[in-house]
Amino acid sequence: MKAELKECLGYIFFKNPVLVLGLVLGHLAAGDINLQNAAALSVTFLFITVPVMLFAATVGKKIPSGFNVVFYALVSAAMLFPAYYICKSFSATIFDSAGIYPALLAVSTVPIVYSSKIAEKQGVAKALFGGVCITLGFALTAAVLGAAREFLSSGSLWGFKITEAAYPAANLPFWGFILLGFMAAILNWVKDIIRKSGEKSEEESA
Amino acid sequence: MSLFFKGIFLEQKKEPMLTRSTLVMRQEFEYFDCDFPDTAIDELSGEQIIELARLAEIVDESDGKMLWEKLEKANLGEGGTLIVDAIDDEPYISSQMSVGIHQPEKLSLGIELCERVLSPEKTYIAMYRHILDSNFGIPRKIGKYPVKKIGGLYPAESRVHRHLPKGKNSVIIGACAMLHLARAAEESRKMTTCFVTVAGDVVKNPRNVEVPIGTTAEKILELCGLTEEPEAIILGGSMTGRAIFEPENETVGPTTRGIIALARSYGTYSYTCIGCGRCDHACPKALSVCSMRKFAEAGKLDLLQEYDVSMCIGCGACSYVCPSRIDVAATLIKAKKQIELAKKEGTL
Amino acid sequence: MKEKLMFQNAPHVRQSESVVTMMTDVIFALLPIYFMAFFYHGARSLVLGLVGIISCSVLSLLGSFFLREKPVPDLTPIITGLIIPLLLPADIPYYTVVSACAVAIFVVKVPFGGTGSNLFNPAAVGFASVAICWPELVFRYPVTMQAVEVFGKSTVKIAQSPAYSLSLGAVPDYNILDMLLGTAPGPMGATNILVVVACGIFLIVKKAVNWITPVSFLLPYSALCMIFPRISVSPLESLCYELFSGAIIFGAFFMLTEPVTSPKRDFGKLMAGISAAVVVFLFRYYGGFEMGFASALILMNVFSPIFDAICESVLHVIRHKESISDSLKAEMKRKKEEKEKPVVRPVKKVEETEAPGIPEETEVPEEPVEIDLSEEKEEEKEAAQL
Repeated sequence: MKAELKECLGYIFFKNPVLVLGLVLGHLAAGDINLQNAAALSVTFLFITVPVMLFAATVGKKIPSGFNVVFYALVSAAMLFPAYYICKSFSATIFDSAGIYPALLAVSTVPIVYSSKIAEKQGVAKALFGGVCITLGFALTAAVLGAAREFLSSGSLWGFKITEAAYPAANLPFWGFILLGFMAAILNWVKDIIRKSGEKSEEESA
Repeated sequence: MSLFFKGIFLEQKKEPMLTRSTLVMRQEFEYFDCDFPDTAIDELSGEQIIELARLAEIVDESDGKMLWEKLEKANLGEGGTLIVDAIDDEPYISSQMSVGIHQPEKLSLGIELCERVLSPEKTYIAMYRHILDSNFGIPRKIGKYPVKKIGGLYPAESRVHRHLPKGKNSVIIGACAMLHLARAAEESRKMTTCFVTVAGDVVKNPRNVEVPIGTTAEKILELCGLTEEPEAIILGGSMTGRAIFEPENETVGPTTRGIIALARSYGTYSYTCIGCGRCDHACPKALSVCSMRKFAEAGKLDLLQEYDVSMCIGCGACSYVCPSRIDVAATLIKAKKQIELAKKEGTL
Repeated sequence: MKEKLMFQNAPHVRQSESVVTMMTDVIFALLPIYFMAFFYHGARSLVLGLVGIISCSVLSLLGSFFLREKPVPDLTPIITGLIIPLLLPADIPYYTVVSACAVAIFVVKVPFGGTGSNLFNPAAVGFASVAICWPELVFRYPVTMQAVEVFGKSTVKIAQSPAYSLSLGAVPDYNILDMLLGTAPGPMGATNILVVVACGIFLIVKKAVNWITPVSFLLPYSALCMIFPRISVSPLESLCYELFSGAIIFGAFFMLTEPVTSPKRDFGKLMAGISAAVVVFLFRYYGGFEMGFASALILMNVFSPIFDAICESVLHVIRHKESISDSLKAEMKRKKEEKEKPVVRPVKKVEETEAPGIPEETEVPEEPVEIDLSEEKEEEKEAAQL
């Protein structure tokens, strides 16, 4: 159980799809301007990544390499429909207000990278577990970024007004990239601290 | 071409050392015996002159080689040139120039002897021209030999070398070595002394001195007197010499050209590089100094080699112009040594 | 004698000029521009400058605290803090200046490692960020000769700048003398062209700034403005209107010349200046944005390492000219010999058994021993200039 928790945390922090691997930076920087968009993007990400990884772990191995990428893209595009309906079930507008970006996720590098690099080499259970953990990492990043930008630009969270608007420019993609850069830097800093403390404890135990 | 191969303009600060006569430290001279004591100077043959240089143990102060080896090896063919090195383009230093100015007869005798060995088509004395802070006029001729004024920016010596055609068609010999050769022919005197410029802002009586080889820096400074405790004592030229800490143990050698005592060292405090690119422009070899320093600090030896760090002559022009007071030249010279070491070990 | 001796690396004499003197020169050159802004807009311009200086210095101190560096008495934040308000209108709210300074220091400078490591011009990015965030505050200017209130909302009449009229394709309402003297509305420090040019010449004379960058930018830019005018007037008038509006001259002297983000060599500076002129012209000609200069400058900063690399590769060839020409000559000689080789009879070939195609050692004709007088003269000129 402890090993699995460690792996999960590894997927969330040390192999974070956005901050460490830099996979869908543009989508987040442009589209993730409030918490609702973050939710829509995260749900779409879940519905794209997990089925594609499952598909890759079961059928994808048997398709000759080179062709399987096409199937992955098709599967991920097909999974947009359930994502759309799930989003609609808890709030009517969030998928539409996120614009083109959830749909763009389906044809991004994410499904291809994870299915060919991870899922094809692992079993079904591991692929499912990995997909969920990766989605958690993405959702965490998107939520933090979306909340920060929504609060900065309009002073509200999930549409509820908290303070007056302060810095309307936080909605611009330019600020999305800068905030993502700062988040990556902070993550690196935390990683450094963890590594150093690990080395210390090893030395002490030795 | 001078668009890329530049240099730096230096205040020469050669006064009053240049116009004052040379001070000779009290000492006992050594003499040698030769097989042809009765031969008149005018009748000495080429082999005999080389023998004289060998017996007198004359060292060429411009490159540290033995004079007789240089004379023997040099084989000037048609159109050969003999250049007498009295350039002295570093600030304060004027030891070679003062030999030409204050002892012209001896120098021209030495040149004549060398001419007899080498039989060059052309002979001239090279001196640095841009001494703007002095009214001193460089003579057009010393004896019967013309003085070629080398202009331009520091480093002029390397530029003289660059203009020389490749091959054995020319020879550069220092002025002090010529003087010692003349003394050996006239008095059978060994080369036991060297010419040193003592200068700096805390020296009471700055001038050129002739001291025995092996004299400590402390003694020489005492000879000229100090007005104040110096923060830096430099053995060698002001651009390429090294700072010394124990003046009572450091001695002068045949290639030492100066001892400089400065009231203030510029200190070790430095700003970060602001990338102004002045070092790139100062470099007489047109190296990309600014990027090379960054590579050297990151330890990227392969990139340094690609940028031709081996061509660096260590003139220190880059450090001189650096507005952030970074030791660029020292960093590059260190990196150059590292690369040579790595090449020897075969790791590069 | 030896108590006070300190270690130092060669060379032991150093130039008296240092980073501090260079930066002080720039600050001194900016002060007359502030005086002119005070003359046209009142005390608020000085307070804006003060806010810029204080916020930049405090933020860069904070930054050095984050980087865990010993704070260096560094004047670059002060220059950044002085330049940013000069690009803005005099009635801009103070929080705008603070935000521009924060972006300049905390986004451009500190994350990349402080002074000397920034990829972009901090002042340009700071200005661009506020121009994007609050265009309604940045691109409208108070008329001159009326003092703006130091605190509270400004009641001075608002006017559009000549740069805005130009971007619409209209002839500005102001005559050229107005624009030269700075009585036309515009950014606080960039309108009084005469003072800016004088300060720029001061910087060039003091060698805080290389003359090649502004000249190689302004000359091609003027040529482009004369050839492709945006408004239907004579080429000379078009040149004056284009050059005197939109902080072109201010930027050419104070922002384009920033040492960190510009190429290192004269040749690279020349290339960068010319390409910056083209890019700025395109930004202003086709872009709807009034202040194309800052955006174009940020774009050009990206290319300066490339210009450096071009210079280095050219110099590499020059340095190895001799060895390269030697090998080329050997190659050509070999080819010539192969061509001119007489048709030998097969009988003879057997006898000689000479292996063809091996290049003989080539001897380079030796030049006469003379020091090149022409170069000496050139260097003399250089020395005289110095």
